[in-house]
Amino acid sequence: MNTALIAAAEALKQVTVQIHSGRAGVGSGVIWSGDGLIVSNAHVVRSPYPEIILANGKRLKGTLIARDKQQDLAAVRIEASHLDTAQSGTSTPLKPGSLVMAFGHPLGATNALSLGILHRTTEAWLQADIRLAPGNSGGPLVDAQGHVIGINTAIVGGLGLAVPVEAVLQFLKRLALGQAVA
Amino acid sequence: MTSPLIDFSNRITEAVEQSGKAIVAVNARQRFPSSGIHWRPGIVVTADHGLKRDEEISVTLPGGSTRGATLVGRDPSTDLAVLRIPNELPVADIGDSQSLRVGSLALAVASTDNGNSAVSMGVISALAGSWRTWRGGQVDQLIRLDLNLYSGFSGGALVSAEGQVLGMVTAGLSRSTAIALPVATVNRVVDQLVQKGRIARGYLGVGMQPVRLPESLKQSLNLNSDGGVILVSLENDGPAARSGAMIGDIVVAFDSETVGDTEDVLALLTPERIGMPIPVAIVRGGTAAILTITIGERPRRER
Repeated sequence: MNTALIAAAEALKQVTVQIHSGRAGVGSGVIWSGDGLIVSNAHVVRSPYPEIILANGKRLKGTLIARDKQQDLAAVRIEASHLDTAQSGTSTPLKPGSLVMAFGHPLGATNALSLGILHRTTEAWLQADIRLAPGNSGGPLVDAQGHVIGINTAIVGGLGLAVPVEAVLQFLKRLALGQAVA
Repeated sequence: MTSPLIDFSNRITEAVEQSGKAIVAVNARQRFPSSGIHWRPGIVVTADHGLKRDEEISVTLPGGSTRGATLVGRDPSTDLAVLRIPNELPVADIGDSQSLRVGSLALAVASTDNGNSAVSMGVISALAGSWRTWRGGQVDQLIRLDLNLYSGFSGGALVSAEGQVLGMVTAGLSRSTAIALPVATVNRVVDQLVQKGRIARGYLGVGMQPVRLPESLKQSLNLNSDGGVILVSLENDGPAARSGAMIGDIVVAFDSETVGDTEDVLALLTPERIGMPIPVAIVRGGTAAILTITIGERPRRER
């Protein structure tokens, strides 16, 4: 199990970016496509041109292309190619107790893995029994297969709250259709 | 990607699913339900501090339907309460808390207001022998958990990775840590509450204060404790008075156990000693004596 966790952490590191955006401080983001589409939280990306730092330390200027404050989602584009990308999964079949992992840059730490379980599944949010801190926002919550099931967004009553991946896919669909997302 | 993680994940969800069939939400306070365990057929145990009323209690079963529940009894000293519900749920698969080891994976399984399972994961953080709660209850084993007890988790089950219930979790017995009451304690309290509707406590009919014994007295009477408790009031015809106790007597041992504080005496007034003649060692006027007190039952306080 140790080896598997280490491998999972390494894979997550490659697909999680740091986002610096004005006074919002440091947040996290998920590489969604090899050509530079990044998904994060609206509350992490507060400026039109956030700075994106890849796992290899490379700093790039990003461009905010869509932002949905209601869902707390944002899409950012960087000029890149052949990036490792996160694999998206589905959150709906998961049961309470399912293993989950979060990756991100909490409170000044970089590339931090958290391990936990799904707490309950009935809400519009995914609720996870996992230790998160503010800089985890925008980063991936993945299942035991390493597939993204949500975007870590908030901490309420000690629980990690994530926007389910289904909502992220809807958001990206509206974006692809050219519907205004703001 | 990696099968050990998937195996682990499946094991936990199975444990939650299996144990969750016997976990209910207990609605006995405003807004936030607590949890309860279907411990025996028709009998639910829950956390006493989650009951803010004695009537109009209901439980939400797994799946979301609601049933009325009647209060069988409550024991604030161990933070346990017992409810009776229609017997239509599977009974919890109860294991042996003695099998717990520090470092064992621990799950707290609770129920939410709509009857779905909620779960928290951690480890058994520390184990120790019997202890007394801040409210005076006797607990057979100290089980400290390193996990989060979220809102509504008190009264839920401590569950092993195999899905067995090994105790009831509560946030009501420690401000800083999650505690589980072991199976033996829950069984004992359930037995007493089902039998009598209350926890009987032993009674002496005295008022006591701790005192320090002078060194000379300790030496002349060969006493091994620094202090005792002095009787400062005596109920007319109470259990102590009937045995010949007098105000000013200093109790130094109770049933062969040394007592140095009023707490020690209270701890020894167990339900098992009610009605039994107990030897009580005292010092009266500088000389040692033994009284035989037949322990009474503490009168019920009107609510």
